[in-house]
Amino acid sequence: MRDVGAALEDDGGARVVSSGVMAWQRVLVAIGTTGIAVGAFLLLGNLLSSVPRIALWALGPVAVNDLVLAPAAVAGAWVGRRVLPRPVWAPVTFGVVASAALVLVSLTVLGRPGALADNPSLLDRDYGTGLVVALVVVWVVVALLSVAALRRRRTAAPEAGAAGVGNVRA
Amino acid sequence: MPPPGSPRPPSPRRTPGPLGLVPREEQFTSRLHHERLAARLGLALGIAFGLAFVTGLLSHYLQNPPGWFWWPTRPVQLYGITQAVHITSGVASVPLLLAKLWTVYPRLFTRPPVRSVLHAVERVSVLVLIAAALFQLVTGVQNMVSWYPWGFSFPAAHFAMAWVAIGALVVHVGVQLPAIRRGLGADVDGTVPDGEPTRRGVLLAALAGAGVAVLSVAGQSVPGLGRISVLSPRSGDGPQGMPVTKSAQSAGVTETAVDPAWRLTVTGPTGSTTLSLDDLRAMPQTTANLPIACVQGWRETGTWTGVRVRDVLALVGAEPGQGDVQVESLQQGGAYPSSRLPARHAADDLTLLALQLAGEDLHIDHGYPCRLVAPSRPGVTQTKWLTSLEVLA
Repeated sequence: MRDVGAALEDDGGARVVSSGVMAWQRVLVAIGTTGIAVGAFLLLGNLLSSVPRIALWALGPVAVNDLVLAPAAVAGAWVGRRVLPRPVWAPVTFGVVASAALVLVSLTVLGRPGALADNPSLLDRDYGTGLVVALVVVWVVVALLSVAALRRRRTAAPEAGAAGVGNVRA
Repeated sequence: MPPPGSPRPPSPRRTPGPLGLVPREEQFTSRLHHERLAARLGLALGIAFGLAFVTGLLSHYLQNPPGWFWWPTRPVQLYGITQAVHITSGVASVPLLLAKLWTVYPRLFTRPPVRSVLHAVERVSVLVLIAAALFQLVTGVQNMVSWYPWGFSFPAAHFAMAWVAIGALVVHVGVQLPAIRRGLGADVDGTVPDGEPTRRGVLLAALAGAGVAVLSVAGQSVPGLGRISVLSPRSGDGPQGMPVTKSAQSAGVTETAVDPAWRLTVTGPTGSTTLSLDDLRAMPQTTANLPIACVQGWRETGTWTGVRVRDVLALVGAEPGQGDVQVESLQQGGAYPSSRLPARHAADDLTLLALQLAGEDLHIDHGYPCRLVAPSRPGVTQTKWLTSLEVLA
């Protein structure tokens, strides 16, 4: 194996990688490949007939991320940078990340898809209300952080105003 | 991503690709798509996936113990804690992975798509990593609520894909080691140009988002968080104050468990004996506070009263610690109708054939007439509706 890291760098391997780092790279790639081989052995040995379904549930989420979630985040960031003042960007980013996580996790409890008629102790909360309350709390925190950040900017640089807002990029 | 500080070189080709809608890597000009941010999010994810892998391996071996496996009986909450770490590190990974994938999203559109055989192998290994990682998070979160829409065995598939995910993760760290060293070796932001977003802001947002996700479900395994964990699959309530994973109805024992002719068969070095419920009640009783810690992530401690397993095994001539004990349930079908109790646990003072929970006869969903309760074991091995114990040679 030649210099894996350098060969795969963005600039086509122009960087110098020390031999110590290269040795570590070889060890890690070898260990990792062994781990993948163990997984493949388990999949082919115990789950051969399930492999197409497992592939669907592995590649499906990749497609959802690459075609829906990531483009939505890119578009959201593009819009956010044009309509929101700079000090609130970080708090709003937190709000979006936390909301996305809450909504994704709630998909398994909201419609109670796993509910069992004979087991009332499973999925025994009011998840709709809970999700709304959690989202409200998150965005109240976002609002408080945003107000604090805007005040800090005003006291730190009263004349700075909206500096840089015109310099927007995706 | 460009090296820190150096301006991105102009794109050599500006002609639109065959699909005008497909962006090019160099069109993502935000300074947030950078190795310094990717390395830090990757470090957080590496820790979370590492914890999930180790605790998941433990849980797997506790349910399917190989000969060399050893597990202590104290502290009694140990398995509940390792499994809570497993679940919460997985849930924390959801926002961290979304943020990481967004940070490196431009790499998806790198041109040319394949530069060499090695480059192709590396790109495939990244796809394997992302697919396996998302598979583990999606199926793991579904398993928390017993939602199995896939038509394959969850434990087997989650275990196999764990090896694929952790292996691909280690390969990825190996391949990217120089970039990781550069990324972690420098301040995440350096000098932020006017009007530009900070990478630190995104990093803190992702970590705080992970905290919110954990808080939303952790109440099922962390006492005291119950009220604020609004998405927790279980409030912690249930018959006799204890949740249920497998009900008597789904186990098919609603008649056999309450049959007055029920007997427990105990087999050991000197032969077999059968015990009625009254026989068990007439033996010395022990009360212990022990948790049920489900692989699905919930944990609840109850006050159990019953007979020590080692006292029952002594009736058939077994010395404490003599051998593992095969424990069988009345349960019909299902994944866990029996368990193997290690010799160390069988000899323990706190390992009980429980007849009561919270001072009452066991609710049938908790295993009436008699269930196994041992310290620091997965809930699926705390076999309910017992019908036999056998000391293995």
